[in-house]
Amino acid sequence: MKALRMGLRVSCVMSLLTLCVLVNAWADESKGDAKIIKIGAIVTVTGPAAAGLKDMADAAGPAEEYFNSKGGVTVAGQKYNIKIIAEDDQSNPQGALAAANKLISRDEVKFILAPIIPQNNIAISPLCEKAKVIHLRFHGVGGKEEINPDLHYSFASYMNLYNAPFAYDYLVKNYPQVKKVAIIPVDDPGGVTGSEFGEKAAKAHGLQVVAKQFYPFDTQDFNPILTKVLDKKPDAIDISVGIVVWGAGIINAARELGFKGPIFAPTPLGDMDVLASMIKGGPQAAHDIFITAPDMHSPKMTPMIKEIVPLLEKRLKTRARMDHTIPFETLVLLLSAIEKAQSLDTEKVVKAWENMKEIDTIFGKGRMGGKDLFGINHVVIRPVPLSRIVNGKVEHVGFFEKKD
Amino acid sequence: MSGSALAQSIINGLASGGIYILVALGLTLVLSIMGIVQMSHGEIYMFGAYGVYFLFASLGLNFVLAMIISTLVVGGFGIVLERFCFRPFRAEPDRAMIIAIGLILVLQNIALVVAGGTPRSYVSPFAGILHFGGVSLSLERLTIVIIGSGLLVALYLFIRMTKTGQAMLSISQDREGAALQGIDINRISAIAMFLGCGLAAIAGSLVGGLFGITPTMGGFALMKGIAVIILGGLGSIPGAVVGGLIIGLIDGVMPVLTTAHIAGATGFGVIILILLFRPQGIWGHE
Amino acid sequence: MNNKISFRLLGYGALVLVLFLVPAFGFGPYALHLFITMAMNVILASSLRFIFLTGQMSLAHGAMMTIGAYTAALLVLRFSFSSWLALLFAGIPGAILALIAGFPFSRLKGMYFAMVTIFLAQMVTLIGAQWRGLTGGAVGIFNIPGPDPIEIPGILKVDFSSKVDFYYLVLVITLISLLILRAIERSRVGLTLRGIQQSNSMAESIGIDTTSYKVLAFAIGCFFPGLTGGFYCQYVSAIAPDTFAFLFTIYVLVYMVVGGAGKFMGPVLGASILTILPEIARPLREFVPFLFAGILMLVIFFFPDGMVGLWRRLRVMAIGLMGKRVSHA
Repeated sequence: MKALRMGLRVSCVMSLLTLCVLVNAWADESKGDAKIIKIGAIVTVTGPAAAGLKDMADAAGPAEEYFNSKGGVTVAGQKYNIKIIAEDDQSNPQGALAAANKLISRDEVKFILAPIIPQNNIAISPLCEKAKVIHLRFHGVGGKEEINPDLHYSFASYMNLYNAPFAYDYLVKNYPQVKKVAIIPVDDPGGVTGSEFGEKAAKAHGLQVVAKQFYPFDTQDFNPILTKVLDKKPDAIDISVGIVVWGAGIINAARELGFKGPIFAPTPLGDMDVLASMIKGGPQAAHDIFITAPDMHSPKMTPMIKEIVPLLEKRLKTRARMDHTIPFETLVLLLSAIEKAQSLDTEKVVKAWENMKEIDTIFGKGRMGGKDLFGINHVVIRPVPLSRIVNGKVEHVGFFEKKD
Repeated sequence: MSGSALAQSIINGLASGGIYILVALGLTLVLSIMGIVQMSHGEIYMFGAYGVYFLFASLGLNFVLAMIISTLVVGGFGIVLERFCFRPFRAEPDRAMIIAIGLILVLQNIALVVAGGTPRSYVSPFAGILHFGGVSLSLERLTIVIIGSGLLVALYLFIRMTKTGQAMLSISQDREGAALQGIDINRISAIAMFLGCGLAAIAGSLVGGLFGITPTMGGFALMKGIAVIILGGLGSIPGAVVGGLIIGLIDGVMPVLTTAHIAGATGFGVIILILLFRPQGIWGHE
Repeated sequence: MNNKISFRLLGYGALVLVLFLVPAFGFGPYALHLFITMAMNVILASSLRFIFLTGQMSLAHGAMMTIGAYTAALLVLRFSFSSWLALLFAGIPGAILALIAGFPFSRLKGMYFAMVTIFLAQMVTLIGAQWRGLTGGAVGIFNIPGPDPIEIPGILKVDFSSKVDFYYLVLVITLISLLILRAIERSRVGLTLRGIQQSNSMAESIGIDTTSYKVLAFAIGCFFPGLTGGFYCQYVSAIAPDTFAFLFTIYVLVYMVVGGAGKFMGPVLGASILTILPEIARPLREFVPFLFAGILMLVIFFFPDGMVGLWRRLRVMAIGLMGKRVSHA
């Protein structure tokens, strides 16, 4: 009897393990097709950050479908379809490293859509440099840790650091009575760098920064921080860098404590509709909020967005959110660069890419830049959408573009 | 820092204290009194929040009705958990703790897969902001304090005055003695889990409405709940009040005086310090 | 009896030999990376078990690893230590912190002890992010150089440019760590620790200062994640205050429990198998945590001695079967 029970339990475990191996083997079989470019994507589907980053992973499939339907990429007369191999980074650098190792060694990808979490992207940089694998990160607020002259294969689809002047332009134009600004960034690499640029932009517009208050990642209650900040009597609040939950937390706390001025962010906190839904106090409280993020469903959006949104909604059976566009944004850039280079050799792609004076982006025509801030032209410069929330609804305001 | 900021901070702190006490109530009953190492208490709290969101915001039920249903369902789930996950390991708390950790993984990921990661929120029926003496307090927070206090008193009376409550107390003080007295530990444990998880659900719905609902919101509840219990004293409800208020005030006032990080670290530091000098917590009995 | 011991030694010796020959089998960088990760996890799980010998379930391992990583990085970058000295000293600050914190913590039991170690871990993260001057703040430190090259003229030249070099390094570190932990466990100190876990009150009654022993175990156990962190930062060259977050620590706990916390080899087995499992199960994507939790539950409910216990029982059954055959012959 005891042996039988033991036997049953053992077979349970063995079948579980066999299942894993089988699933793994079955998933691998797609190596047969010819003329395919494999593109790795390191996404976050498990771990603490997965909640916020799941959308990006979900949209990988639709993105692959979209670009293949547009004819994929043509290099030296040969048409290629793309195949995205997405691996989970478990929200931490070790996971990203394991994923990158697998993609580079086993799947032999030469292009990777980089993990969004900055520390994870930093962790895989040495590996990618050594293997000459291009890794393209989605727009960020990072600094020289991720883009610098020593990292030949690291690119970024945009850097929100360029947004600050636009946001402050809009602020002084529409709220001329504002003289004092408070900046409330999250305490992470992005927040540190982003708020520096916010401060610079504020001063350049003749505004005084009366408070710069960092908050830790796990902050739930923003009342204490806002109490401190509002004590300095700012006329406007710059949320700087953060995610939707924190943005909503700051807005709600500020309004609760009686702050009536404009609240804005020069970086997209996340999906505007989700943010609007989290603002308390009803439509009348959702006023004077503007953020450099797109209103995905505005009729004034670019043709590409207008194509992507229905595709996403059809495939994912949910309202399209900003994060869903991440694979699209990065892929369109990557594929444009490959086509410009007319080669799949990453060294050649890098050379061609750095010099592109014109490149397709989801928000219109862009170009390569970044030398001024990062020492190397590995950042895409493109038009920046600005939206505002009026009476609880999101409204597209316009596109800003960096001249020069 | 101006006087009005200080006054506001104290109000913030007291309101936070109210939140922490509410959050700690369920855990006090389950862990502190009954000794069930329910480390996944935060996930129960989270489920309560999603339950109310689903019933109230998606289906459009009346808020109170939504809360009642969510509380009952989550409480029932608690009974199931007790029966299958904690009762077999009552004598081995280490293994029970590991089961609870497994539950954390399972429950969090169920929420992530089913509800998705997008944060949810709903318009609280207690909308509005009070302004008095240069200080602001949202009705939502005030409601939490009031409901929390009410539940606190109710729990205290329950423990002191009902037979079941007294049984729980005797179990917490001397398990074998209680069994010898004819107390059905299984039944009492089930009731405790029902109530404890129900309290967590109520806390989750109210606080989730305030801060937003995500699959990982449970960590906050567990941390604060444990902090309150350790500080206030194991097995003590008055202790939970004192502990909650102290931690609430630290969290409310410290960030205004220094950076948010140092404030956070202070909170933990205070707990560790108190443990050094009074290991049973402020109100606990050795 | 002697036969049994030398059989076992032979077995372990063979295993170690195989481990040293692994790179010769032509494993690619991905596999080597997994082996390296496995080795790190083995040290972590084993040292966690060491603390658990006294009945204390510590969840501060992630924080200890963070402290170790920062220590090693700063010693090399700011104080120009050699990478080897940095590695040696990496575990010390964490151990000292454990020594200090261990005293108030030792009064708590079970889940309370675990929670308070979580608080300690949180404090470390917060302080790490706050103390920008020392730690680089939330950005962390990157471009940490790898280990200093080893040169023995004529015999050896290792410059750590390939994963194989890191593999050997971590293998050596792991074996030494395991030997040390094993030695302590088998010594008088180790027996005392076991006695405390069995019955705290009985130990006290014969005059043992249980608190000091518990704190000692905590401190020793926290040295090794620091050491591992030191290796990590030289291997990955970047760290941040939240690199080893709560989930990381939980997974180490799972390795220990699933492997079997009762036997020394338990965490080794658990860490090895469970490091590979999520990699094999990659196609399961967001369901990997369910697999993990499922295995954890399975082990807790049905295989309380962990995989090690299972292995023993299989061996016993196999020997029993063989014995039957022999006697019939």
